[in-house]
Amino acid sequence: MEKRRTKMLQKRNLSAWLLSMVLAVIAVCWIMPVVAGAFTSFKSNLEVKMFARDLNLIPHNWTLENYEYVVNYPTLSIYKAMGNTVIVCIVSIVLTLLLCTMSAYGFERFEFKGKETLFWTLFTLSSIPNVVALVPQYTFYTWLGWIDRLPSIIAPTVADVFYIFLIRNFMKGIPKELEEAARIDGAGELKILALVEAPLLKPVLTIVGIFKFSGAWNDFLWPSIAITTPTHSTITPAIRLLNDSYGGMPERLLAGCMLAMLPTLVVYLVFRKQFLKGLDVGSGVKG
Amino acid sequence: MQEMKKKNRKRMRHWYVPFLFLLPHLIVFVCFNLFPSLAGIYAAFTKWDLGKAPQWIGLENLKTIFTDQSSLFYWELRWGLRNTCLFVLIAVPFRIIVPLLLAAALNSKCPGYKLYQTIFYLPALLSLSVVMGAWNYMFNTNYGIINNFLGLGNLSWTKTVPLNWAAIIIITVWWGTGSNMVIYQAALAGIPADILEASRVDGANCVQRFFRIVLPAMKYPISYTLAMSMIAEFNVWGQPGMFNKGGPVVEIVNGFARNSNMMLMQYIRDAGFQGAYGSNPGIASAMALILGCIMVVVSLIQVHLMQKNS
Repeated sequence: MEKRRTKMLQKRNLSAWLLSMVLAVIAVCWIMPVVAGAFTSFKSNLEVKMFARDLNLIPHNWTLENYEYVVNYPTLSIYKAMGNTVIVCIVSIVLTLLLCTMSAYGFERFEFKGKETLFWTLFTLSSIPNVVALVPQYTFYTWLGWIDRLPSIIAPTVADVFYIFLIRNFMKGIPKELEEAARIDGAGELKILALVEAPLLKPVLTIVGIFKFSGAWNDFLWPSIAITTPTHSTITPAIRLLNDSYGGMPERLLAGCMLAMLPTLVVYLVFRKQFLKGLDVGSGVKG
Repeated sequence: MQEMKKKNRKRMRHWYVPFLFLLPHLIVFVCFNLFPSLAGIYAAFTKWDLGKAPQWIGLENLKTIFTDQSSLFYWELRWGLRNTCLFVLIAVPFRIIVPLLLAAALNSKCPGYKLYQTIFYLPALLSLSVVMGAWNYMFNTNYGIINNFLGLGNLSWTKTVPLNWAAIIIITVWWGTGSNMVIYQAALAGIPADILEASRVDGANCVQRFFRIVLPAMKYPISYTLAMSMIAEFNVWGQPGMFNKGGPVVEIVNGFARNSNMMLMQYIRDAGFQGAYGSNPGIASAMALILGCIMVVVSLIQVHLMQKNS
């Protein structure tokens, strides 16, 4: 019996290593576009053109000329674009968390007539796809005087009903006793939400924040229309401009891509655990 | 106890308190989401020259794009919708199966799984233009990694017709795998280990375990990601736009050129803002409404599933 068991364990151990090797091969291919891009961004144009002959992934002569070119690009500042993106990210995350948490609290912790009807009406209305709003949005923001300015990118992303749904469901799992105690102590509703509820909501708020972060960082269609001056642009449309103007020099575009990627990579490696925890949709929805 | 009742009564008195919590979100939602959407639906039934007020013309736009073969927009809707649907039909199954397999493999906690997980998720964080920058180099005809490493010569991934579709699908799946993968991983981690262990003792093999235990437990996450991925892919335009600008012309009908990879979203954007044939916001809104209706059907199924589950 004991022998059989060790054998089984050994077998399982072996298959685990086999699986690991298969995954390693996939992982190498998977990361290849990023790795190849990173190496190529340090190559000279000559070396990029000789790649067909030499097949060297790693540059023979490392050079920073592509980075210098991108950083000093005349009509577009990559730092400015990154700064704009950071502003959009932060404002959009903070506003979303604030508005959606407040709304979730209103829906979950109070009783009023027609509450569920209002909630599901909102939910249904929010599923009107953004594409429908695309054309009038432009006229609307022109009228507001927000076109070509960052608020036009932030405003349509803030009031996401799905996040209210997520936060509200999480709130269902938090016992009301703590709030009641605070209420007896004379705390107002806002104070209860900020000091009692918010800390307990941290897991779901982190997930919403992370969703919002990648959403804001990657938003593309609307910013590419709303922002017309390249220096007012966020990073994604800015890199696209580089893409359009570079043509035969992939190493310069790649240098721009690497710069644009860097902040995301840092955030990812710092918050790796939170990013990879994912969204437990099953329990998140059942409450 | 009595004091609590008093507090509750006090709380009841201010009937408007809950609305103070709902209001900020509601205002932003109505102004920046609902209003533009309703305006978009209205605009679909108008003749609208930018700079002038839209004029109500009823179903005229829809009639044009559905029946008028002499109109460019008739062909754009057909071609765009066909390409978009084709793209969704091919890309979405991969966007479910690939992350599902990776999540299942990672769930075995084999050596190094944390590193692999970090790598597989990474592309999900990159912005589309970075993704396209990296892949345009991979698929580059002369200097690219794929052609040179695999010895494919001067094969053009952007201009050869089935290949450009394959390339766009590969890029989309690569980009979209991570976000679904972590959802599946969270669900897989929630399956009690002793159930799997018991089935293993009972002699169920790997495949049986997957279909009998794992898949039923994943029903909800899969339907959720399915709906989300479908909606995301119906919006596709950036990948073909930045990969090969809509692809080569493959056919000319009534004097209008059909590009192999033009998506409906690109046609909507062109008609709405800066197209080669001038802008026509009314028609663009009508096409957007059609695309929107398709997505609403997908969303409604999702809402239905969620309500049933909650």
